[in-house]
Formats: sequence, structure tokens, C-alpha cells
Amino acid sequence: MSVILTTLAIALFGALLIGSVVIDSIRQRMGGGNLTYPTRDAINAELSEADREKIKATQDIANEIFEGNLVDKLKNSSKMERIKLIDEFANRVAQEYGLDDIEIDITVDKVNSCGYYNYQDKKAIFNVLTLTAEGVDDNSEEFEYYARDIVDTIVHELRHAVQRKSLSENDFWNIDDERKAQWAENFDNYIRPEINMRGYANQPVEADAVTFAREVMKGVL
Amino acid sequence: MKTKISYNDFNEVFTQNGYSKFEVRNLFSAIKSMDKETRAWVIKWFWRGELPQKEIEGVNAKYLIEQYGLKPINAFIILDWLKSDPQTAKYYLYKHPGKLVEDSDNIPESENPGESIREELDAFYESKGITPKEAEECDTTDIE
Repeated sequence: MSVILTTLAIALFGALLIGSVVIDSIRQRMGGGNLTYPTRDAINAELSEADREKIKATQDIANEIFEGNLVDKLKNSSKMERIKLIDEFANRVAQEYGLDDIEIDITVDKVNSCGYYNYQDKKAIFNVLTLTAEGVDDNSEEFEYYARDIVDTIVHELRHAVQRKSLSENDFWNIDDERKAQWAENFDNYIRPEINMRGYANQPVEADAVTFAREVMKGVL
Repeated sequence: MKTKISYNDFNEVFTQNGYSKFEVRNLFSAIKSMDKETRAWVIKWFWRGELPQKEIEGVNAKYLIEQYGLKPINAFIILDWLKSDPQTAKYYLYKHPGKLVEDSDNIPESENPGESIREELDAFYESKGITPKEAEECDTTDIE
């Protein structure tokens, strides 16, 4: 952990705002605004009772770590403190989900992605550039968007880790075989966002992760 | 000017450009489900390389391709989506920003989980006695 944070500290001071230039530009072109989710009519997956319990537990973790106000807590923290808070949240949620076999890496990277889950290496990578880069305006609407976006991304990507683990561990989260089979077939016929963004959004594993994260974020204050 | 795209023509061009059989079928179906105006844009681009000027929610095809780094068909998919469900399309567009064009060589494409966890998937199918489904065939009648 300390090695990662030291690396981050070094990277932090070298970080530029390049990564958010494109997204800021398109958000400005399209009217900006807060993180707004697809409606249930557009993207929806069925959630189990076990899912509901984990959603509540995730909200409790977030509201404890961010002291009941995610945006203000991050806004009033130093850049290093922000990284530590995000790191703590990601690790606590992974623990809550029973993902003791995955690695979590918090990074500051100009690559234009907020985070992803590497299935092969069982590694979740989260990019906090948008909360830490030089020139980030803590009082802007963009900061509020990115504060919620990073938490949403962590939940979303860890849900993918849950999906994967459920295929190899029978009783994991009591996920029924029908849903697991649907996920497995989807992993086999996965539509990447750079090929077809809409097809990517509508496939079962992505609709499930978005639905799960959307429900969590409803209770993150 | 040609006003249709056959599956054979589409398949030939996209296969040559590195798309898998599954991706070609997926995109062909996606185009067929677009509204008439967007399909006409795709046909014009496919045969003549022309991009429409029209903006949807503040962006047009040229911007999405040249500034945002999307592949042309994906840009048309986004424009069609912005017309029918802007809230959902924007959510994904913001969450999955295109590649920074000037730095695109350094950014890996997203991985295909099926390839990464092949052994796990095979073990799952075997333990459940499931025969994995082949990707569905698509309607290969012309795009028009």
C-alpha cells in the first residue's frame, strides 16, 4: 500500500489535465450537468435479495468513509487524502463483496478512463486524475460529476469481478445458474465499447453492472 | 449513387479492417435498427466517405470521429442513440470517452473477457452441462 501511495504521490505532481480535456469538451458541448443515469426503461437488470443486501452495505461504507457527503468530503480533502479515501473505499467494498483474491490499484494516469477491471490478472484499476490533477477546480460542476463518477466506477467494476467469481464458485452471492449462464455466454460474445457503444451498454454483464451501481449511488449521500 | 449496402460488401470492408465475424454481424444488425436518416448517413459514408454536418445534442459525426476518436460506425450508432434516448447515450459517452486522438497509440483497446477467462468459462459450461450458444445469425438483407 505505502509503495503504491508513494508512487501516486510522485505521479500526482507530474499529472497533467490532458485526460479530462476531451471529456470536458464533450460534456460542455452537450450541456454538462451532474451524473445522470440511464432510466430503468433503458437499462435494467434484475437484482436478487443478496444484491440488495450488498447494495445497502456499499452505501453504508460510502457514507461512513465520506462522512455522509461524498462531494464535500473530497472537496475539503488534500489531493493525497482524496487518493487515500478512494483507495480505502475500493478496498472496503472489495472486502465486503468477498473479492479477497483481486488486486486494487489506484492510479493517476492521463489515459482517458476512470477505471476498468482486468479479468485476466484479476486487477481493478481506478484512475483518480480528474480529482487530483493540477488545475482541477474543486468548486466546479465538473468536480461534483467526477467525485460521484469515481465511486460509481469502483462499484461498477467490482461488480464485474463478482460476475467473474460467481462462475467459478458455486455459492458465491447465491447467484442462480440461469443468470450465470447468461453472463458466461455474454463473456464469450462480448461487445466492446469502441466497436458498438450501444450494443456494449445493452449486453447482460454491462446492464447488470450499471443497474447495480445505479442502485448503490441512489443511497450515497 | 448506390443506395444500399449488401452484407457481402459490408463484410468484405470490415473484415479487411480487422473486425471479427461476430463484430461484423453485430454492426450490420445495429445499422439495420437505426432510424432512416442515420441509415442514409451510413450508406453515404460507406460508398462516398461523406459525413453529415447535422448536429445532434451539440455533436456531429465529424466531431465524434476526429476529435473524440470514435470509429465512424460507432459515431453513427451514437448519433442515432442521441436522437432516440439522449440521457442514456450521454451517460455512456461521458463514461467511455473516445481515445485522445494524438495519443491513441498508447491506449490499449478494452479487453474481451471471453478470451481472458477461457478456461474458467469452459469449466463452468462443463460443470453445468451447458453447451455454449453460438452468436446468433443476423438478418443479412441489404441495408437501405
